[in-house]
Amino acid sequence: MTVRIRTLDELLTPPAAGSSELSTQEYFVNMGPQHPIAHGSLRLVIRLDGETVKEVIPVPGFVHRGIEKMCEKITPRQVIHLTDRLDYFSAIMNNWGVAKLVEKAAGIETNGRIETIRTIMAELQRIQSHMLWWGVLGMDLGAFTAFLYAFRDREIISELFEETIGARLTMNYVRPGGVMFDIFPDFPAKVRKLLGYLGPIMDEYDTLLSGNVILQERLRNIGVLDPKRAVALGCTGPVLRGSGVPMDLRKTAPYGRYGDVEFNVAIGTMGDCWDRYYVRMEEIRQSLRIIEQLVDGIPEGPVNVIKASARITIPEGTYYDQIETARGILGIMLVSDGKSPNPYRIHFRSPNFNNMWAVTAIAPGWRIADIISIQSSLDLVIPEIDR
Amino acid sequence: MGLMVDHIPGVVENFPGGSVLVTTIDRIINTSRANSLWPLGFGTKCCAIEMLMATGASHQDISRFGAEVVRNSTRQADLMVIAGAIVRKMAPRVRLLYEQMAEPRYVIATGACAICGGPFQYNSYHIVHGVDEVIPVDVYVPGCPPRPEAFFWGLLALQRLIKEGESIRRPDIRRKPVLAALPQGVTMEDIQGEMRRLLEEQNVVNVAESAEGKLWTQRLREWMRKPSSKP
Amino acid sequence: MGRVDFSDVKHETRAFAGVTVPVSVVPRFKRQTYPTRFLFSLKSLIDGMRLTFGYLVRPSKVVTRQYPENRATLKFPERYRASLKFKFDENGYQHCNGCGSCERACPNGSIILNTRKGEITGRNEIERYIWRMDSCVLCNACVEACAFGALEMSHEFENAVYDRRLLVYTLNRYAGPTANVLLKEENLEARAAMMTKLDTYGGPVPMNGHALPTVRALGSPRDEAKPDGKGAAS
Repeated sequence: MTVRIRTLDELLTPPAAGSSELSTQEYFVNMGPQHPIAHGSLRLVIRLDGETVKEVIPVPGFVHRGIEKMCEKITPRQVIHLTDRLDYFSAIMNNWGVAKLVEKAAGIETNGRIETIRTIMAELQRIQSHMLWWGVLGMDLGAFTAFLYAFRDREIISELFEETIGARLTMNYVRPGGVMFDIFPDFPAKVRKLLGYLGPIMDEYDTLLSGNVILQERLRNIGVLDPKRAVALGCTGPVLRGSGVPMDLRKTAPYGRYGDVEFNVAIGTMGDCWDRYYVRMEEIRQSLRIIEQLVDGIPEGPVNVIKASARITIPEGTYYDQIETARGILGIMLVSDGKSPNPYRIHFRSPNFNNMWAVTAIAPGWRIADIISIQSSLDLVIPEIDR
Repeated sequence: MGLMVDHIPGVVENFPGGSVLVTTIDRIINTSRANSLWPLGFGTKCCAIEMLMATGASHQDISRFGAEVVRNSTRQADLMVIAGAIVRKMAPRVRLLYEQMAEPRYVIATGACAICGGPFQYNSYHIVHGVDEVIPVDVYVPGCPPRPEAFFWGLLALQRLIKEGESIRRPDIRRKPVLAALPQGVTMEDIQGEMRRLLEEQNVVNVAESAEGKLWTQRLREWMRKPSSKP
Repeated sequence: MGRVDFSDVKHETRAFAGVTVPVSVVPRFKRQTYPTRFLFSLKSLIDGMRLTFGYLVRPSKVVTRQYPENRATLKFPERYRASLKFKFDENGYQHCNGCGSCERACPNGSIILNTRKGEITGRNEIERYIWRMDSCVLCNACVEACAFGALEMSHEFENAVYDRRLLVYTLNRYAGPTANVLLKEENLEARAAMMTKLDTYGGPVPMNGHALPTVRALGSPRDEAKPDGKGAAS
């Protein structure tokens, strides 16, 4: 799609007769780069007519660090630590995406234990990510209490990560050919305890925020994204599923242990903010279900099939692989020249970049206050957009 | 080692010529300032989750330090927590935000990205190598990201800086008790010779001067002076 | 609850992309007359309040950690990574032989290794192991890469400083051979002759690639540290 940028002259001329009697002079409002709803540094230039949004122009690039270019100078093992810093709420899933691609390209076979640990960790992180989103959505819409509850429970998962992996946010855990640390023997018991805790907590979340009439009024029927438009924009993850398209890589192209477990793909019916909101709530429950099925039978075996410092050579060619992160499909394209251990080129197809453009399709016609709901329900992580 | 929080700020190292009245007022003002730092809700990257969100939430309650009032407007904030990488496109904006803040203003740089570019310091064409190229920084908290407790330690270090290093006689001068806050595991015996001399020499910072001397100041001036294209 | 019945999640199957996908369709709003709607809205608000006040009066649920008051009892998991350390044996000897695998494994050049030819032993040994805590991302790659177990991650997280230069320091306490080589030598004086004592901040502070206005290589003239991102390379 194209973004039309008008000159000041055009803007100052009164609207042509017959457009609307009520239309006033249009003006621009800047949201960001330092704005509480930006969740980072995203600038939204909003063209307004009164309070009605006419157009939204996202201006990304305030956290562009050149990660793709940097990846050309480091080995695949070292690329992993940069993927932590793309979408830091899905750090393990990003790690896994690169590891999966490198394993596929270099022909490394993993075992059941590795895949099970990766799946459990990825699902834990998905829960953690959605919890943070839930709290921040509440905070954006003026309910600070939700934030406290979300972080209380998120911290429990953080502690589990800290104990197993040694880091709270940027884990650098999954690497080509295995994972960095083996789990402790009491890990399954701890996860089971966590599941027992989080099950009832989800009902509490429903009572606290989902059932709240103010939140419902701010989400219901706001920002409708119809499925065709969502597919055309390349939206993935809960944004697409909220519009009713059951697109989930964990089902359509299973990787890890997702083929062996039973879970449902949460979808919405209308594609409004409420659907996107509740799809994520339902996804937390489904993630709990996945973990519940996996945690009891973690197979035995080594957690590394190759040595940590082993030199991985990727044969010449272009490779692509994708993974379902908490926000959608992260695609990784890797070009190798076959000689150097470093990739010749890496490209990340980030889910947030496409989801961000959904705001241009959704927002026009709604009020400026609805931008907050829409932006929050899209759950953008800006550093992944900019890379 | 380390900084002390276990004694009342009674042993203020006075500036030359300080009188009893001034030091008493100083003590009152500095204690008040140190215990009500309002941070600016400004985060660019992963550190923001730990520094601004997790610290404000239930497990680590930042209001125990009187700093829970996160302001989204720069004009109401005292403390700017640089949480995350600052890139060239963002640098003028960071500078602008800093200049919009009312004095006295304090900056904590958290995480490797804000301190020196961290994981992006080499091979990246767009990173600013440390936020101190843009604005003067008072306290550095290393880590990637540092845990909330480490941030609190940095906040305590900043409170100590405010309590000990400022005087209403010279509001733009900030005396950093450099040798009081050392990385854990490092003792005074480890700092010898030239390093010690340098640290002691350069522990008095003229904040206004130091802010003007930053690289990006000039660029921002040019950027702001640029005449808007006339239709 | 409000006007949504949260248990009303429909479990269906949909055909998508050639796969039959089991789906959960999320609940939607029910049509209500105005008075019921009003009462339900009121109830939803009261429910939320009750939950919050419930937590207010149940002190067993307090989760806040009292840092820094609990510094003495603060414990971290064994694997928690907060800073890099050298492992020393009971005599204070290190295991690093200066092979440089950690330097190669480091993704962002936070480790700078200077080696020397040992005068007595005649083999390659470590002179100065510089670790930049300011840029380290604690990814554990160096510890994994080390085949000799010379490095470890420690829990020392209270590293806030006023001056950046304090974050670049030398990890090894002496320049010299590894513990294995030293222990072969029985004579303590001969051992001491192989080692040169180091301090944490002595020697050049290398800021390869770029120098910063506040950080310059120690011992170098002041104008060498150019603020334009070049110069003062080690």
